[in-house]
Amino acid sequence: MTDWGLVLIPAMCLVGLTGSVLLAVPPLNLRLPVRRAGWLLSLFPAGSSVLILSRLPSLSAVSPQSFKLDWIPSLGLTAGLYFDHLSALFGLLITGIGTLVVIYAGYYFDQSASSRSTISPWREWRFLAFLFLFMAAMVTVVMAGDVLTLFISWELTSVASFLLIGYRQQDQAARQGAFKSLLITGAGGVALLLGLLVLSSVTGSGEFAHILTAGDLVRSSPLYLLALALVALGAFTKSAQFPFHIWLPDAMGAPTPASAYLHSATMVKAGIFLLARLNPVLGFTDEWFWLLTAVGGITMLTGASAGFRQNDLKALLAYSTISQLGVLIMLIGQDTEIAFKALVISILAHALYKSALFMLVGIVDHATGTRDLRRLGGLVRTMPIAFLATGVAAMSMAGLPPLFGFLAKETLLATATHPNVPPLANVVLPATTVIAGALILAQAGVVVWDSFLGRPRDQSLHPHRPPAFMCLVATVPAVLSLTIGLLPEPEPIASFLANAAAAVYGSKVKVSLALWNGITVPLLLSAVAVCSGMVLFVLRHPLRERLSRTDPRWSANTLYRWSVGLIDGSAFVATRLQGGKLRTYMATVILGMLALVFGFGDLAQWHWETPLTLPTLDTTGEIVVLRIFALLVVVTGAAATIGLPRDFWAVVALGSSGMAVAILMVLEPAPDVALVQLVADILTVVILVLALARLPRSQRQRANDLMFLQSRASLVRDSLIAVAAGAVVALVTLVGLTSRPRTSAVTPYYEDTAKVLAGTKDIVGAILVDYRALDTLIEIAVFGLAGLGVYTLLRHASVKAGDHNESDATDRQSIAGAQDVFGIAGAETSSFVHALAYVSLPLAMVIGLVHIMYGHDQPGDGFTAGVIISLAIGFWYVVFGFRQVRRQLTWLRSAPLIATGLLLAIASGTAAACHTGSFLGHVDWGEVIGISLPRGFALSTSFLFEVAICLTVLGSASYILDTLGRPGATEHESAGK
Amino acid sequence: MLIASQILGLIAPQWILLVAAMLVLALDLTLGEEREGWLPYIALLGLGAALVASLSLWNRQVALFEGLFLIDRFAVFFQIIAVLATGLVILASIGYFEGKTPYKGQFYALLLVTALAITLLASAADLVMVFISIEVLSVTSYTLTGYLIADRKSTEAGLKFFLYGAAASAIMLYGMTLLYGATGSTNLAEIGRTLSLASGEGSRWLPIAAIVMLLVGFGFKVSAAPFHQWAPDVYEGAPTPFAAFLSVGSKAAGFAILLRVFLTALPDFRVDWFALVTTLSIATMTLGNLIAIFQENIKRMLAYSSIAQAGYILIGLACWDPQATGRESISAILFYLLAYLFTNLGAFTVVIAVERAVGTNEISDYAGLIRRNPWLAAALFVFFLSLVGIPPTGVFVGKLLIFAAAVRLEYYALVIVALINGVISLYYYYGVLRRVFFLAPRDEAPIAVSTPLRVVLAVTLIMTLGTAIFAQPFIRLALTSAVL
Repeated sequence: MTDWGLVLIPAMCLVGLTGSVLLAVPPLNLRLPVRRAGWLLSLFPAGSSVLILSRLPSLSAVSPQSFKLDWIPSLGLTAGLYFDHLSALFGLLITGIGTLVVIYAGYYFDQSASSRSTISPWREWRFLAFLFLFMAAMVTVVMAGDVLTLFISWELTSVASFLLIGYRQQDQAARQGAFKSLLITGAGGVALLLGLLVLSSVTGSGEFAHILTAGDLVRSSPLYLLALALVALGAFTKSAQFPFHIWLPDAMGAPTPASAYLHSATMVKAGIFLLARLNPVLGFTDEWFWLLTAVGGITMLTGASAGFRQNDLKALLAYSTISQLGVLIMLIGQDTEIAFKALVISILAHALYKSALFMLVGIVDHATGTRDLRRLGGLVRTMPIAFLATGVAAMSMAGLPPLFGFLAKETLLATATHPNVPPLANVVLPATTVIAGALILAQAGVVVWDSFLGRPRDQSLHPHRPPAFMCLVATVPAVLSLTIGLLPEPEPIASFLANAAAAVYGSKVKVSLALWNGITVPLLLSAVAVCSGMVLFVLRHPLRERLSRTDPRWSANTLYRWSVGLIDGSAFVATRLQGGKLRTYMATVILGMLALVFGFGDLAQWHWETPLTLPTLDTTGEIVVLRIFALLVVVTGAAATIGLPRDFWAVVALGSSGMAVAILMVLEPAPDVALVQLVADILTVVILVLALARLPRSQRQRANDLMFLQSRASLVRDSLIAVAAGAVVALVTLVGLTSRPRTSAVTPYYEDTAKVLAGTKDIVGAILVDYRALDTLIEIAVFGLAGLGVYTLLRHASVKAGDHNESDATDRQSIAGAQDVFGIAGAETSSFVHALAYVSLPLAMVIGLVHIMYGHDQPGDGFTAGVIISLAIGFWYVVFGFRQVRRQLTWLRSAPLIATGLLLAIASGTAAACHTGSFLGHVDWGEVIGISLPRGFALSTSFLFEVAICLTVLGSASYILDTLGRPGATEHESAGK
Repeated sequence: MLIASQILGLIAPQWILLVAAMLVLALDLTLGEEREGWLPYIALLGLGAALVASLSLWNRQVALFEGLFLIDRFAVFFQIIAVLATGLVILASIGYFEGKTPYKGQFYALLLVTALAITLLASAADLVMVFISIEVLSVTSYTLTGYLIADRKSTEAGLKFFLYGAAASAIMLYGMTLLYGATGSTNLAEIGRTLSLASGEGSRWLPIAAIVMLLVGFGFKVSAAPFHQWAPDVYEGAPTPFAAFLSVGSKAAGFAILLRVFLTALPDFRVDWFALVTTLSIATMTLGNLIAIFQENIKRMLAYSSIAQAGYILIGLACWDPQATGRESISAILFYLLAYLFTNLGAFTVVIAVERAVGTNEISDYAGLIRRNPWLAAALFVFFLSLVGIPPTGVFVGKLLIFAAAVRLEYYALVIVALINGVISLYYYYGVLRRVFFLAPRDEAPIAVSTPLRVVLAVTLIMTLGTAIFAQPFIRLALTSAVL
């Protein structure tokens, strides 16, 4: 059943929100005084109230009205509304008091505008907009038809409350209070979300219509306690239950209309509503009873006693609100018929008298400029109406007949003395209720007596008369609580409340609103409470004096400060880990990896009892000597790289280690791998040397010093990290070698098909240029990019550094003019080395060519060819220096080489694709065209691809060499020394 | 057997991006100063063409090049993500380099190459392909990070990024070789088959060590703790549009490959990597959120925030269970990435707008933004709401989907940790918003926003809200794409 009419109820409030925003825009904001706008905008909540009222006659007590819109069907998420008598009760409170508060806010800000000199015109409209935002959200909370709608609107009320508390931005305390409330209620909100998710996963649906019928399922589920704890956490934070109540007093920095509306009448009741709504699902268990009774009881006492010592009127009211909220929570926990009767009556009674009191305090505040009880007094002369209204509301708060509050207290006491209450609780409950009742009565007396009667304590106060309408608005709820009490037997109200209570209880509840029920136990207890309250009131001055001197060191606020401090503290520690030092980062990465390997490496499952079969060295033959030698060189080289105190030496040591790996590969025998390893290793060394040479000597020296003259501790630490990493990797490799499958799955496949598919005997070559040709193509593209990257980073950096002679035009001149032959870093080189270099380049080219031509069947390929030629060129750079190389090797243009290489690869691939249908497929073009070639050489796609690889590698390498070999300002400096 | 033209059609997004990149590069050299403004739009055209090509592949399920390259909905989904991220970043960077560097055109070309790399990564079905595409992505990223050569911080960031990335890649490559050693194959599906046949016998040490090492590389890409430390330094130094790209595009790519490798090659090791991923997830979100609190630079703060977000997303992977949540948790990740893309790009766009007006990225410069440009302030508010996970925003729905998967598997502890983290994150987002809304600006001058930035803001804002309010089609998209 989808009842679109229901949407109208929250929608009206949204219209109000739009209206308040519209009114904020010029020229409307200038034409209309805030006072009038309040009246105008109050039509929307009033309309909402009327809508709710108009639905009541047709609302059956057993079947609620609902509205459903699919939001995320796959998750079963809907946006829905659910409207029963409980929703109606809360809805009427929200929209009814909302109407009054909006009118009241109009006067409140009108006044404040006149009392202050500068006021930005749109600020007050913003307040109304926040108020309407809250109203719409809150109405949605009480009408929510599913968990998600509930959660979303729930969080929105927190946000609106935050905005309203922090409304006075220049007030530091208000801002902190706002944040505190957001943190506490927001945290509760996420707990609630989880609780609701658990609930819907247990019941299989997120809709209340379904959840509410699945109470037995939930109560028998093992997740019941979790769901209860999470939901209760959400409700307790929102409804300011101990120990989360601390946000509510701090929220009093909000303008009074917001305090009256959110922080007494409505928002803080959201938690009450939630628990009431979920009572049929979560309630009726011992856990429910004890949790709610204990928390509610403690909150009731804490609020009542803390309120008694307050001097700020708003703070006093806030604490009494906390106390009352505790009462409500306690009532929900009882799960007896009388308790729910008490619940609905108390909700209504409290909302009426507390909102009236807050609005009246606001009037006092405005008229006098203070809310401090130590300064007020004798206000009855300037504001008699306000006095009367306060008196009525305070009597209701005190629970005196014939007011509605009396009824609330009677039913509460009746609940506390109900025979179903378990032992222990049956003594504690009435006792605490009586004590709290007495305290609250004393406070009600304080509010009326000390502010309106007696003589003004502070003579400097000159209260002005408040606008009559403002007082009138504040009086409305007070009068209502009087009339409901006085009416003989208001049947429609009683049956409405009975229905609301029944929605919570799950079965019928009888509600009668008669004040006199004969002499009963509750009445007697009530008399005790009134009498002791009177005593407290008479003794208020010494008592309050004493109480306000006690400094509660162990309050819940300490806990809050601690948790905020804990977050701050751990944030501080965590920030320390991020110092910006790459060295620390590297250590973190390696240590992190080691920790993870050890932590999750399934060490327990490793068969420790069966020793690893260590691979034995084949000691036969003379090759073993070579092997051991190579292994020694690998290890020593690596160790020396770290230990040698000079960077150039370290580079050479690294090279020797790599070289030894190449030797091992030769012995394996894996000549292909060895060849690649060899050339790549040499090229790396050359590039590293060139790169180091670019750095000014002083800088290198400093880096060296930093490295080796630092504290012993950090050296030891780094060495330990390195050794640990090495050990783990060795261990893993060892395990890997001993436990991996003996036979390779792929080798036979390649062996069988290489000749057929790729026309070659060299499997490695075939894999590179045939089977995995696309990989290789991308790889060389990456290689080209890497060259470009180095070029961009270094060239641009040095251009920035001010080497203007680096621009190409001046380059050419300086190259042409250079006659001296200097090698790297300006060092002179001998003629013998020159001759060697002259020979090496053509030789390298020939070797490279051979590699390309015959590499397809033999070890070697385009990559090695490219690297070998690059090596020779690198040698030139080292020997002759940058200028000489540029002058002699004019053909060496990096970009064209790379471009040609890539284009050739793509072109040959495409040509093959046209011929065979497969990109880079194997085609022997020599055969196709019909030319005879030397044996072992085929003009195939592979050959062209090898050429392309070679060109790209050469181009990219020369980019790097060229950039690194280029003399910079730095070099001149070092040369000059 | 496919014929060449069919193959060309299947790899159309890739070659279109390549051609577009080359075209932009060529035009950058030939067009000259006054017509340089065309380049971003040409790049956008290329992206548009690539998007059309991607969409045409929606219903294909093909393996190309001997199983190297896979085209399925999962791949197409990330192609779309790559194109969207790149397109929005290109729009957001129009005008950004004015006065910062003379080389503007190359930025767009390189950005297109990064998009290409992401599309390759999303389709990679072989360790070699995985490594190569990650390297393409990384190398271009290093260059783009250090793009502002006149800016010390940018250069330093580029270099740090490079060195860190090289180390991470090396470890990852080592892990790949171990995996190859253990299974004798580099094909992901083949590895998965071998491992599941061999499961139970022999030691699990080798694959687990390999998994950890792979995680180093993937964790580096998604910025998961403890492999996250590069992110703040790099974000701070990189040109802001590219930092934005790193936070969404690069991260999405990281998750794409993480999912692809773990779910195709290593599903039989779920029990092992579940614990690993959970640990990383908790560490990542907690560290990210805690350190974010003390940041004074908004880019650094967003970097930590994006680290924390990676932690939340990792929950989705931890909650992958082939029987119980299979596609559901994967689709949650995909949806999260999509929503996060718009949200975070939006937040960064506000940062770009402010940076262009103010010149710095200090959070204190955000004081009174509401008075200087209320639209920027409102947009930032929505984006931050989304990042915290407050409805009705996209990331909220993403979180909801991920938590729903966790609740389904009854991993409540993980959800509770995430929720506590959500509350902590309120702290620093609020710190910025407090300045934006409540403090008085030092300088009252209004902040003007250029038209391309406005377009980006509008798109991201609409999508941040749209992915939440009309979530169903996006969730369905994620669900149908969550096929591995």
